[in-house]
Amino acid sequence: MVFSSIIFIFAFLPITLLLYYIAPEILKNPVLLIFSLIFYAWGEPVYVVLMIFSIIFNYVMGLDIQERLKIGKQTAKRSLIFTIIVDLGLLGFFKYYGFVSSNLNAVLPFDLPEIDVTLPVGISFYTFQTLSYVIDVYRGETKVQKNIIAFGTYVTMFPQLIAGPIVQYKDIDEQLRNRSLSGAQIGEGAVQFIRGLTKKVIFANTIGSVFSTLSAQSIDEMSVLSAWMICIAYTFQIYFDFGGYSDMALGLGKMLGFRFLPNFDYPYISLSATEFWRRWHISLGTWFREYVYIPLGGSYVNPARHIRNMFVVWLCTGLWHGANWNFVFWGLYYGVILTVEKYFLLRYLEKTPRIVQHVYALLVVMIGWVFFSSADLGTACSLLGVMFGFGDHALADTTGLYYLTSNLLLIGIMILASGPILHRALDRIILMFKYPKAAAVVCYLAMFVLCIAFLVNETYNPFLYFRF
Amino acid sequence: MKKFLDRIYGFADIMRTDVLFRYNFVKVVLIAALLIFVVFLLGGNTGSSRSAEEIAKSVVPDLMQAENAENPESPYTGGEDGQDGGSGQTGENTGVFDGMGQGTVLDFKRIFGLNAEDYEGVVYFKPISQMDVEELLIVKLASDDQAEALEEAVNDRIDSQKTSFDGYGVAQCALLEKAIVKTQGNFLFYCVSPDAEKYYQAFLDAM
Repeated sequence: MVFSSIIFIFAFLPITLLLYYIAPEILKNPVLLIFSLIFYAWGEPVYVVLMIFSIIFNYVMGLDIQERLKIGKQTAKRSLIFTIIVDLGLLGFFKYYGFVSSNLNAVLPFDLPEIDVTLPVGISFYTFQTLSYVIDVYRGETKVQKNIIAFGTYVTMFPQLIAGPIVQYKDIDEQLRNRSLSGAQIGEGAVQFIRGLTKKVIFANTIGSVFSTLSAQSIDEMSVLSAWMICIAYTFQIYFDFGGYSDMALGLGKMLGFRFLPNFDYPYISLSATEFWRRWHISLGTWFREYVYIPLGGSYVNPARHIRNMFVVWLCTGLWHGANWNFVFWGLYYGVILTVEKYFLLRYLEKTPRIVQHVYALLVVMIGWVFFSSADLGTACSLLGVMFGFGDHALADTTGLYYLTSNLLLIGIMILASGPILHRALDRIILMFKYPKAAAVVCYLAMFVLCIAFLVNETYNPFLYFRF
Repeated sequence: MKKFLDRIYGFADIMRTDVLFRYNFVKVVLIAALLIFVVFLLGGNTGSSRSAEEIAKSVVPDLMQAENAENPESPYTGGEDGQDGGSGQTGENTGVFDGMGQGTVLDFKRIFGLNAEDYEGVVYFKPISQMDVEELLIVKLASDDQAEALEEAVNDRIDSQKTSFDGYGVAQCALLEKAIVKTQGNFLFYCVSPDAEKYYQAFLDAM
């Protein structure tokens, strides 16, 4: 089940919200837990067992670590290491075994057995959430959660279960015990949900079909324009897809009384790659900073170790996104770029006009997306070659021109929607009406109806980040 | 018997009084349960690690040989390491068999309303003319949750074809009634053909 589906919007969500709102305070967490498990089991009836195991295991380990801390740090540390090994072992087995075994089989004198398992949806997200919990208990940054229902609710909460944001336990601990629900917050949540739905259904899916169609061309016959259209289309698709999903997740959280930290902050207005990663998938970057980068020493070490720390984080970031050399390369690509910016480029870049910085940042990001979206490294390099005019390729062709001219308006709107301009303009227009609340209701209802019209036309539109 | 009961009572006492022992016991039970689950999962998994193209070659070997010889691979038609690249290409249409012709990514999108890139691999052979209904689809799923929506799209396709031929295409409707739509592990098989059973058996053998 996905948020942008008729069955979720018109069946699952109304039933869940109705039962949640009428349930007394003491039953809100159990209701949310049950419906979150139903939500997950809808698409993964077998792997819901794995998630239940993860809940029980990490709940018990949290209690165990807390108990061992009373005896001594070393014994608690052993328990923590055991927990991390099991959690990462599960993630590693389901996500990386095929990748590791196929690469090792190419070099080893014997063959590792081929084991074909489908990746459980959302395993990367909920594994990182449970890890953040046990590590924070060990560090003493959060109290252990003795209520397994509350803990299960934290892990399974359906707004952020399958594609984030990665919610750290300490950010939500108080809200699990005590949260308020007001009409204003529910309304705010509904507005954010509709904005996210619009980004996903109208922007991402539409530009995504342009990407799919153009990508089907043979690279040998592709023009420079078509190659750039592919890159531009994917750049917008991934942002509005993932950003739209995150908005929906945050909106749903608000409707349930939770306030999650934002996951995107208009990343395409960045002036450097460093700034981009402070605005893109913020929860993942925060997680790696707190649990990998800082424990390794962060930037408070000599330059050689600092660079090593950065590359470890970016290698992990690339791998987190997928078991494929493309993602590894993409992660290391950013490792190189960010290191160069940190030690050399930024001080010169800051002296250039903003437009130059902006163009630089966008180019770096778009080149990165070529690696991210391609089937393999060879394909990525071929496409980049076409984009920058290497080889015998026409500057433009009828296909590229057709898709450019027929999507010019959409691209223009998406450029505006990538920044805060469109959102602020919409808010200002609503405030100009005599009855702004009524105007807001009409406006967002119209957006909602438009999204439903688009959805009815679509058969299936999963989120790109679903597969992580 | 007394010794056994003493052991049970002793164990219960330790479980009641020694918190860490209790947690260690639960850990062992959970890890054992996890291992049993994984073994069960792997044993019950009737999927395949082969690509959609490899499976299709086993189902229709002559056709796939001709297609691979003629058409370059497109990296943008999905599939593991581009292996399925050739199956979605327009290229030269040498692939004609049993009233079916080679389908493309665009055909898949147009007919089923789905994007080939969302799946691990797609091999599609479409009806060769407007009056034919024979088609073959083999899809390798990227995740389990795709099966339901894909089956729904295939069933919608069958219903749409039945509506189109209702009243005048008796033979076509009869074939559509015998359409095979099966999800096997991480693959979906769909076929409308007088030899659908044969192709399905070949598909199962290839899995």
